[in-house]
Amino acid sequence: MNSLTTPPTTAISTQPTALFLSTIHNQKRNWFPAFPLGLVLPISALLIWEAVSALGWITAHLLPPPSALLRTFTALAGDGSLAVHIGVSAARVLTGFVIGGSCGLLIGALVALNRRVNDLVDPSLQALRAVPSLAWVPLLLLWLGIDVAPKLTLIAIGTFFPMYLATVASLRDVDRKLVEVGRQLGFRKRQLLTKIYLPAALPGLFTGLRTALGLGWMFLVAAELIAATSGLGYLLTDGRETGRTDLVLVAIITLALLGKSSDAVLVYIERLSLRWRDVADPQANSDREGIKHV
Amino acid sequence: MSSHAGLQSDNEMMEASIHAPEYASTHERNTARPRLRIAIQQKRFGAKAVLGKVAFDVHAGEIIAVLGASGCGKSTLLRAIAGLDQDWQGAIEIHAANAHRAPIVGVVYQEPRLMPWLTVEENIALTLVAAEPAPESNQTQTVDAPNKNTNPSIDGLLQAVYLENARHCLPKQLSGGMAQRVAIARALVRAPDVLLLDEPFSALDILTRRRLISLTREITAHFQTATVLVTHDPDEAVRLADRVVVLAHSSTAPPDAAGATICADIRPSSDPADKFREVEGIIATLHHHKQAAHR
Repeated sequence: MNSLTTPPTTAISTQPTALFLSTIHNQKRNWFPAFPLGLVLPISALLIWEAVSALGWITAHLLPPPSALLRTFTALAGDGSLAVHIGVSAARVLTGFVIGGSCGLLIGALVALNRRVNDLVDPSLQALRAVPSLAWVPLLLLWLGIDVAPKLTLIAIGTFFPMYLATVASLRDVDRKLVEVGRQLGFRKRQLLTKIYLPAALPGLFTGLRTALGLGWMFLVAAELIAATSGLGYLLTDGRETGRTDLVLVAIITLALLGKSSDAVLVYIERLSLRWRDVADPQANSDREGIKHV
Repeated sequence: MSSHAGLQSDNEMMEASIHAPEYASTHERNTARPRLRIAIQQKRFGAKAVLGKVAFDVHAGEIIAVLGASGCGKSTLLRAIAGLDQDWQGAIEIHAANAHRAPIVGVVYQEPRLMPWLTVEENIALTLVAAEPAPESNQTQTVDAPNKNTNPSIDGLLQAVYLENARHCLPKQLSGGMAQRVAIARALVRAPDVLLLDEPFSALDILTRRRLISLTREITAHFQTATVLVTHDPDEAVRLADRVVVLAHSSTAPPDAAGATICADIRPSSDPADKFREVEGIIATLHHHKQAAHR
């Protein structure tokens, strides 16, 4: 009996691994959108936090419970002041990001593709990059006052360098063989740039954009902490000065949500425009199943 | 003519597996002037000469195989013809079939080298971007206009390489052989006068390889290109080419030596039975020269 059943089980024993893998694969597809795994930790943290506050283990004055934060949040949202703060901050980040990012892209492209420009510009830029960006703040305040100009400049400086570095690195990384195809076809410089260099460098450029946008939010807070009458950074300062921890925490949570969702927008655009990439990520690669052998 | 007979024998072999399109196998070879004339004196990489005196002619509709061991300068020669390398001494003449335009060279590289962000169709069309006249100069426009009609259509080319169904695929969705066929179509879309093939089939399985070899023969006959195939495979060379030029190895030569030169020049027989003997002959020549270089 035993000897009879052994061969089939060994034969099947190779099968379950394949089955097992395929079920994991299916689970990933169907189970994840229904319940994002990333929410597990924040939600449990909130629950524990609320419970610990209710038990009186921590002073509400130093760390208000989530329910109190929710009340502050709805109050701020209700009188429209939160929307104003968000609007002002988002406009500053976006403007600074567009200015800094496009300068980074433009100068990065020139440096990557032209040796002379590289020799002329890159050493100075690398030296400037070594200056911690926040060290510019006093200078910017002296030169540009305390209005909107120094804030935008600081954000632009903060977003310029990651975009510059990513542009230089990704354009230099473009496969020589693809460029050679264009050269052999007699492409002019502009055609090489638009038809080969830029599309080939796009994955790296997106990484640069995402890093730059993240740093943009960081420098926004730095700029608004110093001198501002509106914006989320101002909300942070206001909360500190009036001793309202709940305001500070609401501002922090709002910043986290804004940072995350602005990044999500970029990720979405990235996914759409980089469908052609042949990468290991199964989510980004779903259309590889459409392989046709002709 | 040997090439004609060779085409037939190859087609007979492939008949079972593919449906070759019916091309008119006319060989109106212009014997007066070769399409491509190579007379390289020397090509160096720094102090090291990679190519010595290398000279041969290729006529329209003719296939020349350049054979040699790895590192003997085959690819260097091809890059010189393609215009990707400039610093060689000597002369390379390319004559356009159409006297009204500059000669066009099509290249199929060892790897398909397709732009991964473009579909099959867009990859082929990309080639035509450079051919479009610059908006600021009007003189080129008048010269280019008449040839526009003579370029083969992308539809026709996709059909010729059996890829009509894959036109909207991205390169990542293609197999190696399919990608290489797209590369062939891309090289042909400008109706090149000279077609250069740099070991294009070396990464492919034997059946795909045979199929592409006969496709190359059909294409050369149909488009009347002067085709140069660089390969390290004597079998492929003898099967495909009207003439096989064997380059001697230069890697063991002293730095001041003249570089690789032609050590054998064969016109393969049309009789398939002779091919084996020819392949063995080429291998013996290669072996002999390697031994001589080591001594």
